[in-house]
Order: sequence, then C-alpha cells, then structure tokens
Amino acid sequence: MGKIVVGVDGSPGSRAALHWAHEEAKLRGATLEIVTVWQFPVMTSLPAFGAVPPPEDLGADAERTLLAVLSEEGIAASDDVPVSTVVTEGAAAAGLLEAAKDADLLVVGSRGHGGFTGLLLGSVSHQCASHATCPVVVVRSD
Amino acid sequence: MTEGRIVGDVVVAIDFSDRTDAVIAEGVALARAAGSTLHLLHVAAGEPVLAGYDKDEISAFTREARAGELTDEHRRLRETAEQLGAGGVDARALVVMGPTAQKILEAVEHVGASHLVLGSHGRGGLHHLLVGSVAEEVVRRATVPVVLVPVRGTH
Repeated sequence: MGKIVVGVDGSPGSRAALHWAHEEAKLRGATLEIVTVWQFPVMTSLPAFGAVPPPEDLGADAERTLLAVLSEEGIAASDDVPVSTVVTEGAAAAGLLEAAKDADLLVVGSRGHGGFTGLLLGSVSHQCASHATCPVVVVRSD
Repeated sequence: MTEGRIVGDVVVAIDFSDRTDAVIAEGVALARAAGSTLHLLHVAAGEPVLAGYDKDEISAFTREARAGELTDEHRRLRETAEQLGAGGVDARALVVMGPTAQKILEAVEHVGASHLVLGSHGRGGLHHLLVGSVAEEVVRRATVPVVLVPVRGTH
C-alpha cells in the first residue's frame, strides 16, 4: 500500500494541501500520514521567568492544533483512507522530509506559517522540493 | 467539509533528459488514479538569435536544423503517448516553442488541466540551484497543484 505524507501547520495553504492529499490517497488507495512539526521558539534575549512554556506543553499545543484542524476540515480516518498523525519536534522541512522518506508523495502548501511574503516559494516547500527523494506536490490555497 | 477535487487533465512537462521517465511515471500515476487525460508537453527552445550574423545562408541553415529537431522531438513524444495509450492511459503529445515556464503555464490553461507535473530541474544543467528556475517560476505562477519530481545531477 502506498503512503502519502502531508505537512499541516494550520495555515490556509496546508489546509488545501491536506484536502488534496486526502483525495489523492482515496484515489490511489494509499494511506495518509498527517505531519505537524513544532519547534522550540528561538529567543534573542532571555525571557522573564515563566514566560516560555515548557517543551512538553508546546508539543501538546501542536497536537491540539493538528486535531482541531482535522476536525475543522472534516478529515478523519475511514475505510477509504487510513489516516495517521505524527507530531514531531524540529525544523519543519527536516521533519517533513524524515516522514516522507518512504512515501510516494510529500504534499505541502505553497506557503505555510512564518513564510516571508516576498519569497517565491514558501521556504519549507522550497526545502522539501530541493531535498525530497519522492515527488513533492505544492498546493496553493487560493 | 470534505470538498471533492475537480478532476481534470494532467499536463506533464518533459525535456527528454535522463529523468524524463520518472516524471512521466508520476503523471501516469495521477492520471490513472483520476481516470483523466495525460498531455505530454515539450517546450522547445525558440529559434536562436545569431547576433552579428545576418547572412541569409546561416539563418536558413539553422532554421532547417531546428525544424529537423522539432520534428524528431514531436515524433518521440507521439511514440511515448502511443505506448501509454497501449497501456490504457489516454495520452496526447504536444510540442510548443517559446519561453519554457510561460509556455507550460499556457498549456495548463489551454487544456484546462487540474494538475501539472515537472522535474525539479530541467536540462539547464544548473544543478547547484536547489530548485530549477523553470520549476520555481512555474510553482510561483501556477494556479493548480504542481508535482515536482526529484531530478538531480549525477555528480
């Protein structure tokens, strides 16, 4: 059985990517792996004590965000499409590439959160397209 | 809400590089899954401009050579389309001439494609670029999902 991996960060582009990936998994009879990557915030100065939540909270937040997106977008595991979710810590592109190592397709939005609007491609989708060993599908939200 | 995808044709942009087969295979996978038509598109380079050489015989010679190349490219594309047709995929061959990214996008519009497949790098040989300039421009301007198939230099 084939596997399609999609990166979801809650941005409109990633939601469009999620729908595309789900539909393609249904058409191909593939499994769908939905990946959210979270990162510990980089700080340029020492924050006040207690201002930064502990890492385990950030991971739990990421998981809650993912589940909320899935419920908002009406994506659930079904007989048609087996769905699994992965929440992992690290740089977004690295996390997606790791998840997509044995995938048939890696699906990303054309621009996620945190992209500079001036970038031609979102930096994450650009890195994925540059380094993935499987085809990368770039889906636009508009 | 689960929105159904509009299933339209698939355009595969190919350049006869050694990774063309992988790019076509990805287009076939998409077209097969959706039962849609596959358009094999090759964008041929425009006629070379020979600055400083305005002698008629030179331009006639290059025109003839180009025409021969184009005929050959179209024949190869038709053969590939026929092979795919024998395998049950409705495939068509299309050769156009002009600026690569622009012509690819025009073709997508023209056939009303819902997907576009191309290699992450073309034949340009600029493999130090992370993503080829054509792929980058196409992804930036395309209104449909773009499938980038990894194509790397051998070195």
